[in-house]
Amino acid sequence: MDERELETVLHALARERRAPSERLLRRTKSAIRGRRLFHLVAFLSLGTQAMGVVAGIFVLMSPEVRPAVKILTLAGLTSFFGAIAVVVVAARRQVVWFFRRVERLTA
Amino acid sequence: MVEDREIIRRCRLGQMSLMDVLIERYKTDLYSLCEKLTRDPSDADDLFQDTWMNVVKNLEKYSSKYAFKTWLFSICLNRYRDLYRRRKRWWRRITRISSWERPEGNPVEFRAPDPDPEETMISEERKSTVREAVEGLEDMFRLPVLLHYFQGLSTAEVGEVLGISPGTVKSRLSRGREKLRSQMEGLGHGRA
Repeated sequence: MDERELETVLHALARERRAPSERLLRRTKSAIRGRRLFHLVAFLSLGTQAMGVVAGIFVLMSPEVRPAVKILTLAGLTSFFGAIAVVVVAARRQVVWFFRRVERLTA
Repeated sequence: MVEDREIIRRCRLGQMSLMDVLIERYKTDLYSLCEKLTRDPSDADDLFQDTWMNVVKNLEKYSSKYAFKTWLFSICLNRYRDLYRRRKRWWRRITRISSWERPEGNPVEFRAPDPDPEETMISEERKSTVREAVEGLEDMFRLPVLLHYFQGLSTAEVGEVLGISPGTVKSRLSRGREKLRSQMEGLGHGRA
């Protein structure tokens, strides 16, 4: 194969191009648009949950709170952390996918 | 048509919806580069998306003295180096020949003039052999070949993307072609 023929084949190969699928384009555009919104939602969601946990611990440690309320709070906190544990175990693949997505959005 | 630089200026001011225009404008160029770099459709999808996410992240660093396309390709190559080159995906290489016929994606015509009659005579077998030979090149030679021949960049632009001088690009292209020819001879497509 001589130089000219090689260049001809390379140029012919260069014509073989594919556009990305519509699905990929939509995903990319929405990821860009959702970047700021995602940061906001993640911040608010995690912030709210953290405040809830702190409030729960405060209630548990306060001597002025009635025992019944403390038991309810403890049950609430246990349910919250239990739910997180169950979700992580039951939906490992989705959790991994979620964190990959978070990583990509925040990279 | 709004220029790339103007779009980027507006995006920096907060009009991020204009990124859609850039994505549409360069979708085929970038995706075909991703496909050829990764040799795998799902990796190409990831690389395409990662590249655009990095474009958005690094928008402030873009300098208008460079063409947007070369900057985009630089980001793509950096992401490819970071994410994919170190992976030893030998098992995927076994199936890569069949993966060239991918079910998803829309075939498009390159903005080049109609092929001359000689090109239409090139057999699929020969194309396939050259394609495999290009894939088999080391990245040092493969990347200039992909950017120059497949993406239509000049040697100066290839130099900008790869961070090397135009002279080095020319030298690597020449050595790349030589390697391709020797591989073709090895496969039984001898010199005419």
